[in-house]
Amino acid sequence: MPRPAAPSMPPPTEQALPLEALRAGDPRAFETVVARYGDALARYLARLLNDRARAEELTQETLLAAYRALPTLRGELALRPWLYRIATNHAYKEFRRRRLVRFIPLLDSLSQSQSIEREVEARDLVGRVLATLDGESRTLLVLTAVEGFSYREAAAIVGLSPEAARKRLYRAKMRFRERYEAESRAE
Amino acid sequence: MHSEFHELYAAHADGELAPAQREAVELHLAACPACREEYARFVRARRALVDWRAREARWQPAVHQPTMARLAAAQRHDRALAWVWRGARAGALALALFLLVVWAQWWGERPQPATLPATPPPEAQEAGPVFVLGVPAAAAALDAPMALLTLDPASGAVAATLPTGSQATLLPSPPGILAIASVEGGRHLIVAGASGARPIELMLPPGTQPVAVHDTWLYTSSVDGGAGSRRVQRLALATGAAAAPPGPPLCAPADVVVAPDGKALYWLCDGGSSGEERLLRLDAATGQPTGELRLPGADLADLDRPRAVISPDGSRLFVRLPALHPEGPPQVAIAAIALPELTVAALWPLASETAAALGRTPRATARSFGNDLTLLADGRLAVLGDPRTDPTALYLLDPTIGRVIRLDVGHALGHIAAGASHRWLVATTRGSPTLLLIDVAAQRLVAAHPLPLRAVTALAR
Repeated sequence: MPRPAAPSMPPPTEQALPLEALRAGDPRAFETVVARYGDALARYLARLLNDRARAEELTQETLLAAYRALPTLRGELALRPWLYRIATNHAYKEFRRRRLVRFIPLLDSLSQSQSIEREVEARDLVGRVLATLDGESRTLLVLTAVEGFSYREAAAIVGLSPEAARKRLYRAKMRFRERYEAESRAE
Repeated sequence: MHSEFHELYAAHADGELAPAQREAVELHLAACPACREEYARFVRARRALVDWRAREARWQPAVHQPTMARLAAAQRHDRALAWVWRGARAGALALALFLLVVWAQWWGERPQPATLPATPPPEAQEAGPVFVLGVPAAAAALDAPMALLTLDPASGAVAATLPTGSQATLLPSPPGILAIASVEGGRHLIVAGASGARPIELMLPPGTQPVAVHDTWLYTSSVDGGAGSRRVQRLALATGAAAAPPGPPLCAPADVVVAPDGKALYWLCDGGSSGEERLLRLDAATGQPTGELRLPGADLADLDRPRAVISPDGSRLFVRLPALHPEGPPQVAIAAIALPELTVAALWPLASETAAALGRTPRATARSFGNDLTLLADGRLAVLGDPRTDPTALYLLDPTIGRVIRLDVGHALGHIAAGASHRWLVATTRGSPTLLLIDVAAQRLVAAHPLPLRAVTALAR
């Protein structure tokens, strides 16, 4: 049986980063981190939050927090998962802060043509289904299926043991699958 | 037995199984058609998620330059602090004590609520100037002559004050042109001009009301005999000269919007007792109807001021409609109307959905939404909560995905206007008038400035 193709991962170029210069607080070294990971982090946060403007802001916060924390870190450092962990913490704070997020269905009765809105809705069926899940489930699914992290890396990013992450990811997949299939049938 | 494999199917679909487990699962799948279908469902769901990556993949976020700019600013700040610490260590304590005394005095006299940041962030300047029309604080009565203030919402500084007549209103007009209509001896006086330019003044004949301004044109609605119908006419804003004879008789407008290209007027009819609420498309030059959309069940008279806004590209008209389904619970909806086709492309029934989310009954939330409707630069719509049941709420609707966010601003809101960038929203409060600057992206209030007004009539950018 063919193994499912993994989503394309970023090239393993972390070794080329000047980690010592980063730990010394060299802004030029840090600029390479911003250039390499900034856009990917923003897209990750936009996928979690459904809000590009907020994602851009939280990416800046993530990178500045990383810059401040780098001189205090010792030992081996896997920079990409570590940055995603900081970004995920920002996203979790945002989840908690949002007081009301609701998806409102469109009414079919008055639609007189296939509108742009309906096409966008159809295209973003996955986004709508993800938004009905709790923040942790959404984050685990995006990290593994969209961002290409392994279960073990995703567990470390969200601060869970690998076993707990595996069980929660399975439950998240079941919920996502059922709702996605139901929404697909409804359309 | 089969269910024990389900968790493994999910892990297999993600390529997460060790070789021995993978082999066991694949052997099981080969012998079990029902399990293959179960496995295929995981694979399909996963493929949908993987394909969904494309949604943001083409987006180029603004991260690099702003992050490095913030980093440089933080470093300048750190260096300045270090210099002060090294060079003035001996005098620092005395200076700090002096500054503390001065600051404490200033803070004690400061009228802002304590929950606000001490100063708005520097980027709040992006919000741009706003115009507030209202009755000056020094006026003896609410029907006294009014004034138009030009303010910076970040600092609260008043850049200009333009006296107007009584009963003044702001006319729908595109950014860059500001038109005020006020009543002088039973006739409407129009004062219009670009911000900072010398205003144009124009007096309209009795029975003629101004309805909108666009480019160099003023659109008026004049009473047509005793039947209650109106005729639309286009006048040159500079001279008041009519460009063409008045158009045919029309319904009384509940709101009028001019297309961004200036070629069409969208005329929202209040059906009155007939209940025939309609949206008409008119030729802007002649006033002749060129299209019509019936809005069954909508009761535009139910609102003090129905609001419609048009997207900058002119492809969508967003209309706030009350009571769209009279046979169901009370309802408030925003309709997205495709232009120029005049079809309802989407409809968001705000009240009942929000009632469920807030844990209220639909009837209790029927008036959750107030009058003002404004379009942010990123395409989201902002609408106020109802002044009686939900006065401190601001609702943001993202029309592309139909998501609504409710923000509680903590002040009873009166009017809202979008800032120059999508991040900022400006609002005025009811009661003692205050100008609020709201950071929509961070969902927080960043400035509140008391206005030198007794009452606010309108707010615009």
